[in-house]
Amino acid sequence: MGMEWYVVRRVAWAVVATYLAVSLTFGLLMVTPNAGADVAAAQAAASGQDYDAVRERYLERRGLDRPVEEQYIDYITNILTFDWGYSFSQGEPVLAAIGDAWVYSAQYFVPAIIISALLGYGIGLYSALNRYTPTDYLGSFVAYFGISIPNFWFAIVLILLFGVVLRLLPTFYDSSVALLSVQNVKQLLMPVVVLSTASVAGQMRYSRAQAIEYARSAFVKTARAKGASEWRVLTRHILRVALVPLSTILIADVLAVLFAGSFIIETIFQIPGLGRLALEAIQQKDTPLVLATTLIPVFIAIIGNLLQDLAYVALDPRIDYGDR
Amino acid sequence: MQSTHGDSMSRRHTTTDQAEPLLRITDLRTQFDTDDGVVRAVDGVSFEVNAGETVCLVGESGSGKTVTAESITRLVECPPGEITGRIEFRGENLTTASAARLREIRGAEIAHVFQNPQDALNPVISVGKQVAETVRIHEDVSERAARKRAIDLLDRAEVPDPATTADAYPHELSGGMKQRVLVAAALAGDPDLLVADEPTTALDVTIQAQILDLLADLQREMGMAVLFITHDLGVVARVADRVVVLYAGKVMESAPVDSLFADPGHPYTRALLACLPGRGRESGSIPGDLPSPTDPPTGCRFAPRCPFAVEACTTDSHPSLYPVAQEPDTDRDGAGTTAGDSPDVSTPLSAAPLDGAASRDLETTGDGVNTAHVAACIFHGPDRDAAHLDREVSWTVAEPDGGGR
Repeated sequence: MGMEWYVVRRVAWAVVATYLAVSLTFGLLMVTPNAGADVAAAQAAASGQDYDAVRERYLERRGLDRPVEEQYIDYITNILTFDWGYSFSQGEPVLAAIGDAWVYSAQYFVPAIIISALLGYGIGLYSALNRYTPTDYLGSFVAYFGISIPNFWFAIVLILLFGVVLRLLPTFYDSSVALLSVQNVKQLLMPVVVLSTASVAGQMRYSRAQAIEYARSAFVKTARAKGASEWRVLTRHILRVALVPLSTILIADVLAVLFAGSFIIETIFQIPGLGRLALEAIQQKDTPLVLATTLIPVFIAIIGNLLQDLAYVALDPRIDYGDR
Repeated sequence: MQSTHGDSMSRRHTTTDQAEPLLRITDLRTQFDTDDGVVRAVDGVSFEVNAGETVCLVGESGSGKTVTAESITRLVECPPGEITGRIEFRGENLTTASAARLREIRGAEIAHVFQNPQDALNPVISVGKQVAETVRIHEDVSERAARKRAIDLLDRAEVPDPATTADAYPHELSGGMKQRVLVAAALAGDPDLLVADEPTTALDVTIQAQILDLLADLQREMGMAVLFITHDLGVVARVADRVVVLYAGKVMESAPVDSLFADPGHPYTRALLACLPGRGRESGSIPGDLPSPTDPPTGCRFAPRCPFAVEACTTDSHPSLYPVAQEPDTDRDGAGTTAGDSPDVSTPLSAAPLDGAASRDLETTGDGVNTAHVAACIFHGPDRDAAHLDREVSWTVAEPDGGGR
């Protein structure tokens, strides 16, 4: 039961989880009424054609009248071969649409995650070591502010203040701006702030709680008794041990923000990213695109959890390889 | 760091020559601000540790032993803790020393071993690195050199196969082995004083004996003093040169170990001895509880639980520490304050706490250094008869354990 075997089993589990998620999505697709067929049939019926005949022709053309198992094999094959279909709402293949969109999401998403982790851990650890001081209370206030305030409201207030009143920042995202330009940084500022405010708070509260737990632990006292400086105690002992649970929370938090946050933020700031793409796909009943924008976050979640499991190997020598 | 260390070595020799104590604690008070009020965990404790000797701090849980020990290098959290009084280590007052100076002293001059080896090692760092950490903090050495030293130290702490064990993580080692690692880490800075806070309490009895032997061997090899904190009088009999008995944050009695076991001067000490198991009796416990830490009783803190207490015990005029006679027989005759062959000591020390000056007087009036046996009991006061102690209730006093060491 060594480390290699553990890694192999984690990867195998990730593959199984992916397969289950993909199959479950197929099941959902099967039981959902086909919106495209209904629309086509209704239009045909309005122009005097037979409703049912048109509907059947529509399904037949897309191979949707075949037996379930045949469709299922086709579906899995298509996903595996990256033939994810054509998005009529975007007028291009699904994968091309996603390829265009993810760049815009990553531009605000990656900085927001980095900022929230650094700032969240930083404030959390500082608060833990300076408990019941004004700085600690200020940190807690900021955290509760971040948790309590609705994302969309905060975004609108920021737009009003910095975009409309002060006229310092653009009020919406302009995708024609060059990627590496001051203007691009300026227009990404507010989305990054809004997204990280929500996430910083969580990271801060968790890291503060973890650090308090370990700051009182016997091994930290041992380190102090050796003559270790506060910085050494914090980085080599408290943070090093706290990283095990904190990294788990970070992954979960990143995924939560990815699923929920991006829809709201991309809509408000008019960023043509993955969130907006998914929203448009849903609104326009663009089934292949909905499928893709549903599966991609699922894949990211599975990969994130796999990375987390592998990170434990490096972070925590106590991990029991035989037990998982 | 290297030069500081060399400096300290030379100072150790001069202080030993002058018979100055290595550590002199005078009227130490450590209190904590809590929601329930101010907890005076240590309330005017004074004692000394000489170079090379072993002093045991004894008392029940909550008596202030650990807080006293952790106050020395300010390991108690401040705030909420607050430390006052004088802690002189080679003449340097540590209560007023800077945090940076204390960090230099910790590990290099005063080292600690704590109670529970299960929790005292960082779970995600290999034990070799944790031993090497002490070296690397105090000396500018390479990682490789520090590791070599760590393996050497593990070997001295009798860890089997030290080169392999150095790469092990704490969860892979037994409790006794972890304590050996912690001893190695404590000794890595070649300290002059080792503060061992119940180092064997969490271990099996057989392992306890091994660790005690190891500490004794290393103490002899390295010539360091040990401040040993325990509630186990069996351990005291085994390791101590002198004993300081604490109760509710105050010193009840302070004596050379033989004198304490032969002739305990305070009813609390008698009670502790009576609770010793394994002498043909069941182990007992002292009836009653420790007094409230926020609102301790006036007078003798043990008075509410003491079967010998008289009215004067609960007043402020209660004395702090009085000399106990060296000869139990003269004691029983009613000369409670006459220290046998040294009549000078019969002069009451007034009700002042045992400060440095008074304790030195006591020591010089005896046969030599460290013979002073003092107890904070009214029965050793000027007009009292120590025979009172056996008058109404007789503790089941344990047999003097002279040969136990």
